Amino acid sequence: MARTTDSARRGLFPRRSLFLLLGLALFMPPLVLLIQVSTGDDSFCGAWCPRMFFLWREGTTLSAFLFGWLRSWAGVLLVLSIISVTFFFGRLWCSHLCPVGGALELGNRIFPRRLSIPYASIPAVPVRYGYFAVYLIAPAIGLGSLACNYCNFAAVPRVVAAGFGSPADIVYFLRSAGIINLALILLLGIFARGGRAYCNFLCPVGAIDGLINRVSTRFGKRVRIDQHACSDCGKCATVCPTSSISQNKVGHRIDQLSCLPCGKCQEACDDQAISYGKPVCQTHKSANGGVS
Amino acid sequence: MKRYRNFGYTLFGSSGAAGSMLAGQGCLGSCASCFGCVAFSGLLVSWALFKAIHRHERRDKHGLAAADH
Repeated sequence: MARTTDSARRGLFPRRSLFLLLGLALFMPPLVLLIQVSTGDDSFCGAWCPRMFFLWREGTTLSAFLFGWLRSWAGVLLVLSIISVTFFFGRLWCSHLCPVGGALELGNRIFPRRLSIPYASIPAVPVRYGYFAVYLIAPAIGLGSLACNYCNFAAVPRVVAAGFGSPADIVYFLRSAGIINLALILLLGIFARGGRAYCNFLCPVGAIDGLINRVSTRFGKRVRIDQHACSDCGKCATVCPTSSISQNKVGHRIDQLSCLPCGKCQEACDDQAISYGKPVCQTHKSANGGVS
Repeated sequence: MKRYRNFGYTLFGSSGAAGSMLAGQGCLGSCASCFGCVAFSGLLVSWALFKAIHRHERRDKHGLAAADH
């Protein structure tokens, strides 16, 4: 892959904070602009729910299953849009617009880094897909559902709403489910190094998005490392909020199951070995020396 | 070895999810304020925190934390 130009590097990533703030304005209380304009709801619970419609529950008929898709029509459109964007451009929803991950990351920025919890030594992919397997299988065999109990799309907006003095949301965090969710938000979000441990370990939408990101790596734009320009300094790996950069015998590589195109690695790389773009064709690759 | 380690973490993720879900369901409609669900989730999170911080410190001591990912 040809290295991106400086203008291209500036074009996508430095404005990420503005995109995150836009995501908060569109989806997070007290504004929830997009949700209120389209459905009149005030949260992701309802037509905007992106996490339940694809769950098959024991005893559900096909018509009831499809009715669930109709009931969550905005959530269905949202997830389909996320998947489409991810296929061609990488996980831009997760890195740039997701109000839940964005709120946790922005909250983490005011938390001292030296006190933050380094989750990098726990491999995220097996934990995430172990959790996700139970998320899918448990309702299908009638064990129950994880969809609402530990839903960050419900809990994080509740934290914000509670911050604005909503009595119902304040009471929620005095119950055990609220305490657990608050602990998860703090320990896996605001106190976690990079602020993205919840996204990395538990988010089901992120799990689906990661799979799409991985299987379409050859077709779409992704963050990639030029192995010949890389000096193996490891700076990219230390700043990666999802711990998706690792070192193997060849050099550093990016795990596209976890990578969000946040651009932090690109900013940290002194060798300019990291770029965001499509894979290079074979002739171009041989001319340039190769890109991982 | 890495394969077994990853399998262990998959088990951790799935058993944590299943356990938390079942603990939460047991309390539906019959909450005795035992905070068992909080304790169960707390144990899992504490273990994860211990693993994360302990391993990071251990690698830091050997100068490997920069490559700990």
